[in-house]
Amino acid sequence: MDNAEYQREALNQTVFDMLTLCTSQLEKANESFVNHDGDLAEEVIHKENRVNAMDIKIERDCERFLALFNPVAIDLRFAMAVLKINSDLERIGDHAFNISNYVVEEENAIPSHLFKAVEFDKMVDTIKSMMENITVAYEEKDVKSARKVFKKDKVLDKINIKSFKILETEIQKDPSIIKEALFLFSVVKKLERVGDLIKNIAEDIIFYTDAEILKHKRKK
Amino acid sequence: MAEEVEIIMEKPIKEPTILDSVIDPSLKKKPKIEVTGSKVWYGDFQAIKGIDMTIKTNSVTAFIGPSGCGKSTFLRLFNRMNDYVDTFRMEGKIKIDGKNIYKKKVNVEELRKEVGMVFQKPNPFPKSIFDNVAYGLKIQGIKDKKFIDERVEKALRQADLWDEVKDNLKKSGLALSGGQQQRLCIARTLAVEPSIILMDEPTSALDPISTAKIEQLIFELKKKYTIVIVTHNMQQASRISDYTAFFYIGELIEFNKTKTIFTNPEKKQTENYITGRFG
Amino acid sequence: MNNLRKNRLKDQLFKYWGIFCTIIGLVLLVVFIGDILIDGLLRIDWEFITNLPSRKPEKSGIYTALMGSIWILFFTTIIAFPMGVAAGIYLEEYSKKNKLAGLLEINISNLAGVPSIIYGLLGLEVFVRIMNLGASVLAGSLTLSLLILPIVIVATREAIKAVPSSIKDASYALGASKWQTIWHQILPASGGGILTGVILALSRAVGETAPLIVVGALAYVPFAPENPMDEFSVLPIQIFNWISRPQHGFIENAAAAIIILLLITFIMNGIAVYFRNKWQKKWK
Repeated sequence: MDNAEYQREALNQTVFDMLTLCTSQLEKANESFVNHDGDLAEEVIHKENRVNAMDIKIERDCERFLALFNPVAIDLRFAMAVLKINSDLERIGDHAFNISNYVVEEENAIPSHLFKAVEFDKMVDTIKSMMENITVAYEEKDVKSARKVFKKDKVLDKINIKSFKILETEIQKDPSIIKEALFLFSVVKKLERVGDLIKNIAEDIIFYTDAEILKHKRKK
Repeated sequence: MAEEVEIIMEKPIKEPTILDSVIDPSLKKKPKIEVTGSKVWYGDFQAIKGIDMTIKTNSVTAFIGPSGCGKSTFLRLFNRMNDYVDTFRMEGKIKIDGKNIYKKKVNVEELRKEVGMVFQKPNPFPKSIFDNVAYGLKIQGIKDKKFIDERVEKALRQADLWDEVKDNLKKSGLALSGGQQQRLCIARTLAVEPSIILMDEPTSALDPISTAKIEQLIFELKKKYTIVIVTHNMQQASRISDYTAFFYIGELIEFNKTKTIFTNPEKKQTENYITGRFG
Repeated sequence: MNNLRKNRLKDQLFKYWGIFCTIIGLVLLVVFIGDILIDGLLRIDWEFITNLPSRKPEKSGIYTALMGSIWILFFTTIIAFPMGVAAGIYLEEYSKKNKLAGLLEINISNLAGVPSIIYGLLGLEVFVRIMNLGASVLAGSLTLSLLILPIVIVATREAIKAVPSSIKDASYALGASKWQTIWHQILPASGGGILTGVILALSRAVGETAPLIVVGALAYVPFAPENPMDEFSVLPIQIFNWISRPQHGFIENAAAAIIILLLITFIMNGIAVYFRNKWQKKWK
C-alpha cells in the first residue's frame, strides 16, 4: 500500500470512529431521556468534548489529504463527502448533547403516557435503525443500505407533525405537565432534525460511491 | 480547553493515523546535516546567497523552486560534487554527523561512501547489471566474492529490482528500460550502504508508472536512510517528503514541514509559487 | 517558374552533382586499382614474398622490405601507443583548462599537419646523430612515432570526450578517485575509439617514405633486420626504388609490391572500422 492509500485508509477509519461515537451518543441520550437517567446523560455530556475534538481532527486531516495528495475521481469525492458527513455527525452529536442537558437540568421525568402518545419509542427505534443503515452503508460502500433511510425518515416527519396536536391535547387535559410536554416537543423536533441529518449523510455516501447527486431531488 | 486535551489523551484513537507522512519526524531528533551561512560562487556569479538549514535523520526533504535557483548546486554541496567545477568557490560550514565536510583533511572519497547520489538521467555504466552494482565495492578494494554477491543481491532487493533481473545479472545495464535503469542506479548507490542519499530530479526523465514505483521506493527507504530530493514536481514533493525547502534565486525562502508548506505556508512567496501564481 | 519548382530543381541539381563527384572519385580509384592489379597480380607468389631483392627482376622479392615494414610497425606501435594515449589522457583529464592548455591543443593539431619530411630531418639530427643510433630500425621507429604522436593524442582525446560525463559523475559519486574512474570507466568505454585512432595512425605510418629515407633507410638491403639497431628498408622505399629502374620486370615488381602494401593498409583500416562499429554499438 502506498502512502496515499495509507493516509486515505486512516482518514476513512477516523470518520468511521466518529460515526460510531455519534451513534452511541445519540443512543445514550435517547435512553437517558426516556428513563430520566442522569448518570447516562452526564456521560454523554462528558463525551461531547471528544466529539468536537474529532470533528476538528477530521477536518484538519482532510485538508492535509487534499493538499498533499491531489486526489481525483473517487478519492476526491471521498474527501468531499468526508467533510460533509463529518459536519453532519458533529451536529447529531450536538443534538445528543442538548437532549442530555435537558435530562440533567430537569428534576422531573417525562410522564410515560406522553411518550406513548407521541409514539416516542417508534421514533427512537427508527432513528436507531437509520443509524445502523448508514453505518453499514459507509463501511461497505453499500448504496442500497443508504437508500433505506429515505423511507424511514418519513416516519419521523409524520411523528413530528402529529406531535404538536397531540401534545396540545395532553396539555389541555392536564396543564401541570406543560413543562415536561414542552421539553418532549423540543426533543421530538430535535430527533426529526437528526433524521434529516442522517438523510444528508446517506446522500453523501451515495455521492461518493456512485457520483450521483441526490440533493434536492424527490426520493422514493 | 484543558479538559479537551485530557479527553484526547485518555483514549488515543489509533496508532499512527496522523497524516505526517507516516513516521512522525520529531521522533528522530538528531540532525543529520547542518548548514550554516552557506554561500556559493561560480566565478563572479553568486549561486547561493547565504543559507542555513538543518536536515533530520531518516527524513525525506524536498527542494523545490523555479529552474536555476540553486537547488542542485546546494544539493551537491553535501557530497562535494561541485568540486569538479573549476570556478566553484564556497563559504560557510556544512556538517554531516557533526563533522565539517569541507575541512582540508577530509577524504572526499570517504565522504561519498556515506553520501550517495542518484542523478536525473539514469546513468548506468556500460557494464553488466552485476558489475554496475558491485562497482562501488570494487573500488574500495573489496575482493571477497561471497560478500560482494550478498551485497549486490541486498541492494537489488532494496531497490525493488531483484525479481526482475535475478535470472540474468550478466545482462548489460543499458539493456534495461528507463525506470529499471534508474532503479539500477539506486541499487548501485545502496550497495555502498551510505547513510544519506541525494537525488537530483530522479524521476523527471521517467514515465508515470516508473515514477510511482520509485516514489514508493523512497517511501520505504526513508526508514533507514536520510533522503534529500530535488524536484520540479510539486505534487511529488507533497506526496513523499516530510520537509520541504523552497528556493528562489539562490536564497532559501522557506523551510518547513511539508504539510505546513502545502496547507498554510508562512511566506507569501511560497504560497504564490505552489499555487502557480509565478515561477 | 515559381518557388516550389525552383527548390525542387535545386534539390535535383545538387543530388546529381553529388552523385557525379562521388562517381569520379570511385572511378579513379577503380581505375588505379584495376591498373595495378593488371600489372602486378600475376607476379605475386610465395617466392616473390620470400625472395631478397636482386639485380634481376624475376628473382627480386620483397622479403627484406616486408620484414623491415613489420619491424618498423612493431616498434612504432610500442613507442607511440602508450606515450600518445597517456599524453591524451593527461591533457583531457588532468590538465587545467586555461589559456596554456588551449595553446597546447592548437599546437598539437598543427603538429599533425607538419610535412613528414620535417620529421625525417628532426629524426636524422636527434636520433641518428646526437643519440648515435645510426640508420637503425629504432631511429626510424622513433621518427615515425613522433610523426603519428599528434594523431594518437587527438584520437585519444576525442574518444575520451565521447564518454558521457554522466558516467564520470556516477563514478565519482560512488567514491572513486580520479585514477579509478579513468581506469575502470573511461578507458574501457573509450577503448574502441582509441584503438581505432591508433590503428589508423599506424596504417599511415606503414606508408611513410620520405622521413625514413632521410633517416637513412636503404634502398638496397639484402637482409632482414634482426635487432632494433640493424639497418633496414620498408615497402614504400622498395617500391620507389623499383619504379626508378628501367627494366620492365621491375615495374611489375613495383606493382605487385603496391598491391601488398595496399592490402596491408586495407586490412588495418578494416580492423579499425570493425572496432569503431563495435564501440559505437555499446552506446546504443
